[in-house]
Amino acid sequence: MAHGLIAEDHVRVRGFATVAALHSVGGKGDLVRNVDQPKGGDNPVSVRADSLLGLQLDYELTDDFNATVQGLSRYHSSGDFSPEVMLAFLKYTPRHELNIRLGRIGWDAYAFSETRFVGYSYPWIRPPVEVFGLLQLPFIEGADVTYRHPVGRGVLSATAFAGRSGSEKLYFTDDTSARIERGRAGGGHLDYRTQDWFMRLGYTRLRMDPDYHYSNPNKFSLQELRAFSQQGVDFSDLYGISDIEFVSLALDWTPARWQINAMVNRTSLAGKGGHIDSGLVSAGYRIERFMPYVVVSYIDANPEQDLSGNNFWQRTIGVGTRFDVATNAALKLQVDHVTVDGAAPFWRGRGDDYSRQERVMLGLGLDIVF
Amino acid sequence: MRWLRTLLIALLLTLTPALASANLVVVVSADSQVQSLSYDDVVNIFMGRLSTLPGGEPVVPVDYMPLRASFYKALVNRELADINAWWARLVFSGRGSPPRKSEGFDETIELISHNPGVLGYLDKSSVDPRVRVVYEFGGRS
Repeated sequence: MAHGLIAEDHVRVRGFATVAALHSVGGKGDLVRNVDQPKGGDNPVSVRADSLLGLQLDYELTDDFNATVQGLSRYHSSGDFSPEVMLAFLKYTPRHELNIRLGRIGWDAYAFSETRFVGYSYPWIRPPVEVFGLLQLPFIEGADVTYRHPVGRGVLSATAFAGRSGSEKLYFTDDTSARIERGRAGGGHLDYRTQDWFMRLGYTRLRMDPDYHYSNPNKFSLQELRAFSQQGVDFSDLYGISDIEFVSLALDWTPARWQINAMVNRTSLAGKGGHIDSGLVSAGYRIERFMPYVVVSYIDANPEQDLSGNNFWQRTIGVGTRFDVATNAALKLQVDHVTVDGAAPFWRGRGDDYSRQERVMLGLGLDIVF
Repeated sequence: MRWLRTLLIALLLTLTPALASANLVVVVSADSQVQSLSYDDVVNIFMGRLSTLPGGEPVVPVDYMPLRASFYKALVNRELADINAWWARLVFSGRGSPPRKSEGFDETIELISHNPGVLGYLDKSSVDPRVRVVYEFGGRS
């Protein structure tokens, strides 16, 4: 190894932060960024949904071993900004093309999902909620293995991971929440990256036994509740999310000043026959410090045997710009037009009105890394 | 003829990155076994996709900070903000670290010349016998 070079950086402390304000024009419902947020952004302006602070410590133990710990303060399931440890792993690199991470690692379900809280790393004010808002686990405790090899003009990498979740609480509507204890996740992805192209095919199977809490049982009729009971149906079956498969295909094209991202995902509810489709298309164009962009994202949930009738559909068309005010800071302005139909789990304060609605959301944020 | 002057200025501005990149070269120690690298090798190493040379030897890329913006403009035609955003994805997922930084010319050339596993870049006019040019912009291969 390079003498005099490695010695300088055994320990590094880095961080990232976002301060972002969200406004819902007309105030019809409060948007959450992720289903682990119990409340959405209040009107007229809220910094709750998107603001966060992360700190990371990297320690180079030897040439082969690295340790990483990352803490994150964001609004999450406990209803406050209490910090949580997002990453805490030991990385072993026995060969340059192979590494193994053991401990608490990010859930790499989709492209961008591992760093979905690092606003500086992507153009948008937040990762589209239709794609990233339903990711149930902020991290998994287990291991992953990545192997990289040059192929053609690029690099092919294969990653496999397996682990368990911690204790997570998710909120689907104002009335419905679920607690997940020790869910199990396993899967992997194949990536191929060249200078201009990136392709990913990913798969995850997530098994969990959610403990549902329904604060307004009057919403179901007595006959429905009796029928559910006689059929041995519990809320896990009602919502059909105890055994889930995620398949994801991502394609990025980044020639020169362009940044174009596309992703389609299918989440299959094993044993139920239903599925949730989601995806996004985003196009940004770099003009010096500015990157104006357009992003369209959607989710279409259609659990075929969902007794609760919890089908929903949502689409967001976002227009915005990223303005790099410094080499480590980006100011972002984004306007979203959202069309929602059904009980999409990204809203609070809608009451029982699950009819088709349209909203306009304004977001202004500052992302920094340090 | 005002339009002609405007056109010439626009053409000059368009050519500026190419002119700037023509002065940059990628170098290793003169003691290194590496004789040359392809464009794809240089991209894959400096963007953190590979940490070895084509022969399998480990490599440590170094960013010479005064030329960093020009280098990445020449290499991948990207602004530093885009490069920093890319590294934010790798760093905060715990999957990689950006190239080491070197501020001064003397420090940089010492670092490269004394470490055969280090890959750096310099202005072509400042290359001396202590280092070997392994990739030159303009002759992309």
